[in-house]
Amino acid sequence: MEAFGKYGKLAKYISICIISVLTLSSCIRGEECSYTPEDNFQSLWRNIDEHYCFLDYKKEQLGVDWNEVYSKYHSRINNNMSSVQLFEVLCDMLSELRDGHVNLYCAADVGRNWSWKEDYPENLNTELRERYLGKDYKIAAGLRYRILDDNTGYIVYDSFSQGIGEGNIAEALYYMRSCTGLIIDVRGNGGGQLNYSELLSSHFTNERLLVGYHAHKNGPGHNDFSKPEPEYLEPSKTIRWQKPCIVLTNRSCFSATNDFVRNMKECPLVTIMGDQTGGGSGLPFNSQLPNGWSLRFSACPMYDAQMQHIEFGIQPDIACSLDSADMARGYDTIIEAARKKLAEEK
Amino acid sequence: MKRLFLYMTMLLSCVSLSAEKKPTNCGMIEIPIFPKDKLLVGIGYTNQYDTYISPLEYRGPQLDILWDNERRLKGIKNGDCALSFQSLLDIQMHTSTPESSTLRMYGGDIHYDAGWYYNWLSVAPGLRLKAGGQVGGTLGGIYCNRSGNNPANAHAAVRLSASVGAQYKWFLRHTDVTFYYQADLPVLGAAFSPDYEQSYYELSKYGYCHNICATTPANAFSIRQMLSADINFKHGTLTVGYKADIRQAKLNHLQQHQYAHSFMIGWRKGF
Repeated sequence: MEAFGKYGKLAKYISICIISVLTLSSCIRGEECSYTPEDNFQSLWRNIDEHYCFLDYKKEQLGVDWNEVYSKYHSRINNNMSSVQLFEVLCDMLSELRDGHVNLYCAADVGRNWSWKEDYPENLNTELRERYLGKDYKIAAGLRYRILDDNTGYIVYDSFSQGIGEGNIAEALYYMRSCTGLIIDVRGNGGGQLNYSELLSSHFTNERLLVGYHAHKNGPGHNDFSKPEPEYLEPSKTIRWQKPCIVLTNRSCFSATNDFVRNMKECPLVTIMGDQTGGGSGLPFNSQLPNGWSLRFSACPMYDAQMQHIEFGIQPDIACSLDSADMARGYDTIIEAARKKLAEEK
Repeated sequence: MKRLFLYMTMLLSCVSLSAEKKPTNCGMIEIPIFPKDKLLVGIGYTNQYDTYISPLEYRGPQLDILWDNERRLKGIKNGDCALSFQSLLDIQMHTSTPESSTLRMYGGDIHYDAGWYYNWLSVAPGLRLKAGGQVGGTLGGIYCNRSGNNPANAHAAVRLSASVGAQYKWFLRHTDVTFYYQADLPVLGAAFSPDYEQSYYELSKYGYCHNICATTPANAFSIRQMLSADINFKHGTLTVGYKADIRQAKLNHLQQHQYAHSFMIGWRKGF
């Protein structure tokens, strides 16, 4: 250092500074790849514990205590078990949450709990529905539509994953402008994009409507949530439907379709008919386990306009089920009930 | 790797003390020149980690383009000292994958830093030391090829950094080699981060929610170190170098890091 002369002290301080920075720096590290059942069990349990948004709600509604779940399933883990056995135990653990947005994916299988639809009558016969659509129905992107014999407009939207635009909706509604009423059949629609749900429902209100609230987790604690933000439905700037409209639902209406039904329920001329929806009000996020399996879970809760959870579905305004005698005669009980109601409101 | 850099820095210091002194025409020791424009390309290795997307570390190759321009500023007439200004533009592109999965992450960042330095020119023969500050920013992001509501995360940051550097010109029989080392340490800044489980859908629809976070070494310790050697040949200068770019952050309960190590090379005509 003496060779530095009067700058010796300065050089010394700079050296100390650099050495301190290099040695005192703390690293932020992630999880390392691991194939042991124990590591993957711990990672999955922690992932849900820190990220899943309905733990307290599920505890209240279903009695699911996530710490008890740990004890229950950890006893089934040992490092000699096969990956098939591990997958089975982990899926059983996730099934406790009874959430269609919670899935575990491996190359061979998808872990799921679909009790929200499988434990209930389907209330949909697709063959029968195709009869109502006939062969000359029109297709506007994801919408299939036609005018039924009694001058009722009939739209089937199979999946909110199928894209629709303002133009598609406007064309379909304009085509059915002379109809006395409109039926939108979303039975069997398992969800998709939230923006399509909002876009379609925006054609059924003339005013800005409060339709619900939206929050997200803002920390790893079970109760760490952001302040719920009100969700408003803005009326479409193109064609808006001004006559009665009935939305047909069943237990398979999930996720974005649940959101669509929530929005439509607030629209003034709209009636929800059929069975309760399947729910799925948590916006799902994805994550991974150390062995590469993918995990999906609900991260952001959505509520209805009364700030109530809709995770387990939305009740219809008019409950209605498929009748086997009607089906044998080629009638869809729910569609017929909707036509009858529209005729009464004429 | 950091320790290796430390040892190399110390080795560099030792070499500087034993270097040959080359007299100029007037008998004085030649003052080292400032670096000219350097355009370097690099290939390296990156380790990406972002808990917004995955709790796993992703590793893979990285491509770098680095433009380094430093020039002397007027202002100090004393021959022992000088002021300088440096522009550093660093473009990084990478692709990475976790060891246990076929998912792939793609990313890219543009880092720009403008630095002002005080230089000591006569500390030792052929040696220049510098210390100063930088104002910089980053724009970029990462994307993971899977479906869902959190497949990507954006990077945006501004920062004030402390920066130190050393340059040593080693005169050989027929040529000379200029070694250059620089370390940049962000000390204060602001960075964008989504909230813990805030989706970009929600962000675009409802706007701000604690998305701009203050950064200090306590929650975002980062450091960039560069070591290079300019070797003069008859028709130009070959630059070979090594860059370690360590960026970390803990914001809104989300953790992320990018550890990138690149070997750099560049050629410029003339001296």
